Amino acid sequence: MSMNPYLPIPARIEEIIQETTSDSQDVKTYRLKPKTVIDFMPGQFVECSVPGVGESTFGFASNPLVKDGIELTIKRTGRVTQAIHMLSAGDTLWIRGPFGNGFPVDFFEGHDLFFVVGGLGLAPLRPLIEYVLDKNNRDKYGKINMMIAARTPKDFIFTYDYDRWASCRDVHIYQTIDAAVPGWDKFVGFPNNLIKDIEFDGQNTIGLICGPPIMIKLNAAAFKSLGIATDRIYTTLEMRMTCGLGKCGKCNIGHRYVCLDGPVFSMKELDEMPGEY
Amino acid sequence: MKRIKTTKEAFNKDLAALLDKFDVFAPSTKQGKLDYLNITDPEDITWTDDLPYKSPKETVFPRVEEIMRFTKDDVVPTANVKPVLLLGAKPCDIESFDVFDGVFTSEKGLYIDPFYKERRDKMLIIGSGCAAKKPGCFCDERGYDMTFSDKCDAFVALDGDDMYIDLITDRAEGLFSGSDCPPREVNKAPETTLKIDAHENDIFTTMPWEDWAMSCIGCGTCTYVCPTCHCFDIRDADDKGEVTRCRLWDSCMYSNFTLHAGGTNPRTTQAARYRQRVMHKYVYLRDNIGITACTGCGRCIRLCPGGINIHDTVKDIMGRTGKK
Ligand SMILES: Cc1cc2nc3c(=O)[nH]c(=O)nc-3n(C[C@H](O)[C@H](O)[C@H](O)COP(=O)(O)OP(=O)(O)OC[C@H]3O[C@@H](n4cnc5c(N)ncnc54)[C@H](O)[C@@H]3O)c2cc1C
Ligand code: SF4
Ligand code: SF4
Ligand code: FES
Repeated sequence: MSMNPYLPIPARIEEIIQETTSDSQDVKTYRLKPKTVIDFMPGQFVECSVPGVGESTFGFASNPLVKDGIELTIKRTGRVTQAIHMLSAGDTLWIRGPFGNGFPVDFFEGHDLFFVVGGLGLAPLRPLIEYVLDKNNRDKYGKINMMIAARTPKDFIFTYDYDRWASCRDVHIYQTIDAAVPGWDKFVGFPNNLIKDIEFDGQNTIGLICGPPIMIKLNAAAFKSLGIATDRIYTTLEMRMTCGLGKCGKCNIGHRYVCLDGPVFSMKELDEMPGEY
Repeated sequence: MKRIKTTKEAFNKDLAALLDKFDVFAPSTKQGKLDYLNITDPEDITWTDDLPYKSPKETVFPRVEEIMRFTKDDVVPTANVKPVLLLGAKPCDIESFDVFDGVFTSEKGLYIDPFYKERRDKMLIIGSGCAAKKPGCFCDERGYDMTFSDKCDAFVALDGDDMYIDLITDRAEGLFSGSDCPPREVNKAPETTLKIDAHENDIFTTMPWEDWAMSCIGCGTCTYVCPTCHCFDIRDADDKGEVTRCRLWDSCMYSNFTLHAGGTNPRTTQAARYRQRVMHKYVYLRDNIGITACTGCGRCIRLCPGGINIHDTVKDIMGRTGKK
């Protein structure tokens, strides 16, 4: 990274993938080629901008072991994300990073992993999934369960990855939607009510949760009741951010900054922090 | 520490010679209320015991600051401006730069803010003391000597037409002429009696924040006038067809400060925002940089339209957590 942590570098948009097609959500994945390689760890994030419109925060969504480009998965919400969604392949985004702590992948070694994700929450966990499924890393981790939740069948992202992920050794993918629709033959209902039906060893599992705040709370409680200790339940938080550097004062929870000390926290750490998130 | 004696007239002449090299800021009533203003004539300095109604943080942390400019396929950081000479800074205001240095150049040791650091490295501070406390001031309870601070380059005292200058750092040598005189007698700093020792979790939910913040209208005045408040936003602007990226002051007292695009807001009440202001100063920065970020200048108390008083809040917290 440049000595000046505010200074972004240009990243050419190589490809844009429309992820969801539902009316309530417009999510696209941007495959970018930054001017210089950005090395990152799963769970870290970037500040990404459209000059003249502004900067926003996005988690890396791609395989950290692939060095010739990065992917960001972006939901159209407000000003900046709207402007990003107007761009086409060949246009430029400006990015700075990586920021944040990332997942403690070494600490996870030797454990089974259970991912519970809601909607866009799969995006910041995808680098971790790709990392542990990489052929050089797969043996370091045990059984992998994924409970992927979305509001409707049209709201799932990265569906083109599921078969490849499921074909790896001991990987089990479950999908659930909020309410039944004709033709849907997978789970229906919230993940916190479903994970108890899935076979896993609470004593040796790392629980990973990403989604809206309520989903984090409910699933952390569910994991806890199924025997996963709070120092083995991890989540990644979303707070409003401006700088990513622990300076602008936006993202603190108590004395900790989500942009520096997070965005990845264990439930044990969160339990010890003021509940302001 | 060497002390020299000169006259006000000679001092003004020496200062005038520095105007080319420095942007000089000094207390002045030229625009009405006493404020640290960018002066171009030493005669515009108002020598008084009063405290400027706003803090001097603008001198190194402007309200709006261009930090970079986008060209067609590049981005260029904005070159910094003339060095600042801050003259007549009160001891409390001098303390505030410790907080800024802590946050912008060392907090958690990860990132240095290059825009702040460049301004700060080039800056010269010449302090001046207070003879009396003003209503609302509590620097003494915060452990600061109102008559003097050595956390600056030089310190001046006007006595009639005579001017005494304490030369503290090498950078102050040779700027002003004068004859040597006996060094100043420095007072012992008072004991710090106003501070919070409690852990954040022991006061986060248990204190009557709603009662304390009852009359807060969320105007942000307290944070704008405070010498240690440093929260900011980054916005892009258009300058005759070129895009500039600017940093501007923000305030934790505003309802949208923590509002997410999706509509979630972790701080929904004004009480939660007041708690953030008090705890950021007295607890979070205490833990992160080892400094309580309140100088006791009293500005937020004097200017709050709701009569909110951080001194009384902290005192109350001390009482309720067993520290009188
Ligand atoms: C660590 C982290 C990772 C994230 N990862 C993703 C991701 O992978 N994909 C994705 O679509 N979204 C992600 N978000 C949320 C994303 O940052 C916001 O949706 C986005 O900033 C909205 O910007 P906007 O200009 O379109 O909205 P507006 O409402 O117009 O927001 C204006 C400004 O507010 C700030 N802001 C608003 N909401 C948020 C927010 N929730 N978080 C941080 N800043 C905000 C931004 O600075 C933005 O420029 C992430 C947020 C964080 C903190
Ligand atoms: S405490 Fe007073 S000055 Fe600060 S925002 Fe509230 S009303 Fe305004
Ligand atoms: S909190 Fe109030 S009294 Fe303390 S430094 Fe800021 S303005 Fe001065
Ligand atoms: S985003 Fe600025 S302090 Fe965390």
